[in-house]
This record gives sequence, structure tokens and C-alpha cells, in this order.
Amino acid sequence: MGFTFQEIMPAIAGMTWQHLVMIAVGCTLIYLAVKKQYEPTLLLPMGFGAILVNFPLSAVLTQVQGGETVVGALNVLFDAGIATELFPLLIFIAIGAMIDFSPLFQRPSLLLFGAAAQFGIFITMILATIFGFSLKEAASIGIIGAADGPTSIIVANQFAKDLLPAISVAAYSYMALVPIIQPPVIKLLTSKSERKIRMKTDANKKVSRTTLVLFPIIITVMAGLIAPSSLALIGFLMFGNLIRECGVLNSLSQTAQKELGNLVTILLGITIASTMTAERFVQLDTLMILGLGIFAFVFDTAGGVLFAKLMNKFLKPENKINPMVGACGISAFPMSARVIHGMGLKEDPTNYLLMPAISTNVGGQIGSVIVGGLLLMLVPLFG
Amino acid sequence: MNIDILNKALQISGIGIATVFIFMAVFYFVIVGIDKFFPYKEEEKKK
Repeated sequence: MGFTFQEIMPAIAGMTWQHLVMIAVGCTLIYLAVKKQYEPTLLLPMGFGAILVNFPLSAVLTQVQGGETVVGALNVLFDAGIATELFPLLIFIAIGAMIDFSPLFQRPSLLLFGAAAQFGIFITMILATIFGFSLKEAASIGIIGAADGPTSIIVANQFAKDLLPAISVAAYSYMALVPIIQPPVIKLLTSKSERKIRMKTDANKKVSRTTLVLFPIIITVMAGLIAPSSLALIGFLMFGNLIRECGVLNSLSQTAQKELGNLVTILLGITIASTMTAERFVQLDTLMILGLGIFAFVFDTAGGVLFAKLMNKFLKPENKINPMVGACGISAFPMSARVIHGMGLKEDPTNYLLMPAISTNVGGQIGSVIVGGLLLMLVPLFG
Repeated sequence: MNIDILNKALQISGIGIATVFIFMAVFYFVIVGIDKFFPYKEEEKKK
């Protein structure tokens, strides 16, 4: 009785160069997570998952063997957590429980940068349509610029399921690369004197508990009235924040911040990786999406910086805004704020930009979620 | 390149940017409003 090599070693026999490329991609993600510490909580599960799913007949994915369908664990997780959008929304509860909105009350006008720094999303969407992507695909690619992984997953899952792996990898990888992407763009658009501008902030301003409890409720109501399609995103974010601020659910708040956030993050990363198969990932479209993702990040940063420069034309000298702070209007929290604070200290070791940068960054979190909801509402209308 | 799709993308971008600014402006007034109505000092006095 003779067995062929394919029958004895089906995985090795079925291995293609595309599988090897994806295993190399997985190893690279793990390297970035472990060695460079770029978003390790997500890049490591994604990297390991990319290795897991790129063996022919891998048992973690659904396979048909001898006419029988054997369901893979990662497919079960995908159907339960990503296709239903449950995992990203649960992550929003955790993020909401982690965010302290009180810095926004020190200088609420900084909230506007959370809008200005979404500019790159729309520019990228337009560019993606020029490159031949459909409207829904273009919107999903543009949202990478939100620097907001869960929002990117939700939009891509609704509009462009085939592009989900590339979009989620780009979104999370570039979030981790904020310290590399933002500084050159900011330096290109600002003068040394602009980068030294000191900002007036009321660091001692305290916010009442009533205010902090009312804030997530009112924001949810307003979002529900203006753009109900954003309500899942905003609502879960604000629910998490309400648990944090209400003062009577400290145990739940801690659980949401730690256990819930950690558990869902582990599952989210490895589940996204279930889509990183060679057949879906090793394509020209993936490279284009990665390129467009960087473009979105760059133009989001530019949008925030240029908006600050525009505002400065109308502000009194004592109220001027350091244009670098505008770049924090993206959602990568608190990394973007830390980067800007560090850049400010390099220009002038006595200029502390952390508080306004944090305020702007918090605004960016709200802005990215709003834009995600708006795209979910607008794109089907123009269909 | 499909001009029709590009046209739609431009329209969505225009509406999207305007709406997100409107959202943020509304949130700005919400923040200013609730901070004015429920200031920290008043809460302290009540305690």
C-alpha cells in the first residue's frame, strides 16, 4: 500500500510561499511586540495567531475533512466576537472605564482638535476611491486614520469584511508607531518658535462629581439624537466611563479596566489573526491599504497641527495654542499626548504640555468614535 | 477611477467633517454648561 507524500505530510506538501510570508509577518509582529514593545497586548496575539492560521489544514480554522466539516476554534471566536462586533464594543467599556474626562474641563475648546485631526480619514477615503476601491472599502481604509482599533474593526466589519485583516493590522500597528510617524510631520509643519509656545491651563481646576457623572449620560443622549448610528460606539464608551465616575461601582470599574479589558484584548488579537490567512492577506490590496493607512495618520496629524495654527491667528497672545498639541486630536491615547509632551520638553525643558495634550487626546478619542458612527450612517445613504 | 464614487466620497467627506465639528461644538457647550451649573465649589459647600 502506497501513500503519497501529500497524504502523510499534508501541511508540508500544501505549504506555499504565501504561507511562509505570513508566518514571517507573524514573527515580525511578535518581534515588534516583544523587542520594541509596540502595542504588545495586541500585536503579540495577532502575530502568534498569524502563525497558527497559516499552516495548511490548521485545526484552529474550520476545515472540511473527508466530507465532514470540522469547526475551528478561531472561527467560532470570530463569529461570536467580531462578526457580532461584541469584542470591540466590550473593549470600549474597558476604555471608557480607563478614561478620565476631567482634563477636558480645563480647556474645553481643545475638544475641537478631536474634529480637526480626523481630516486624514476623509482625505484617505477620497484617495482610496481614486485608487479604485469601492465607497465602502474606501471608508473602511480611511478609518485607519482614527488611530482607534475597535472603531476600525467595527467599520471594516460592516463595510469590507475581506479587508478586515489588513485594516486591523494597519490600525493597531500604526497606533504603536505614533512616536515614529507624528514627530517628523509636526516638525515639517511648525517653526521652532511655534513649538516653544507655552499654553495657559488651569491645572488646579477641579470638576464636581455631579458633572463627571452627567457628562457620559448627556453625551450619549446627544449622540443618540444627532447620529444614532454612533450610539453603539459612543454608548459603550460612555457606559464604561459612567461605571468609573458614578462612585458606587468601584469594583466593577476596576474589573472593566483590568479583567474585562485584558480578557477581551487577548481574544480580540488572536481572533483578528484568524483572518490573516495567506489567501486573504498576501495581495496587492494589502500593501495599498498599509500605504493608505500611513497617509491617513500623516494627514490626521497635519489636520490637527494646521487647525491649531489657524486658531492662533484669532487668539490673543496669552491664549495661543502650541500647534504640536493639535496633533493629539487622534485617538491613540495616551501615547500621542506623551509624544507631544516629550517633543515640547525637547524644545524647552520648562514647557510642560502634558495637560493640554491629554485634554486634546481625550477629545480625539471622542472624535474618532463620532467619525466611525458618521461613516456607518453616511456611506449606506450614498451607497 | 470611478468619477461617481469619487463624487460621493467628496460629498461624504464634506458632510462628515462639518458634522464632526458640529458634534464637538455641541459637546463643548455641554461641558461649559454642566461645569457652570454644577461647579466644584458648590458641591463642597453642600457637603
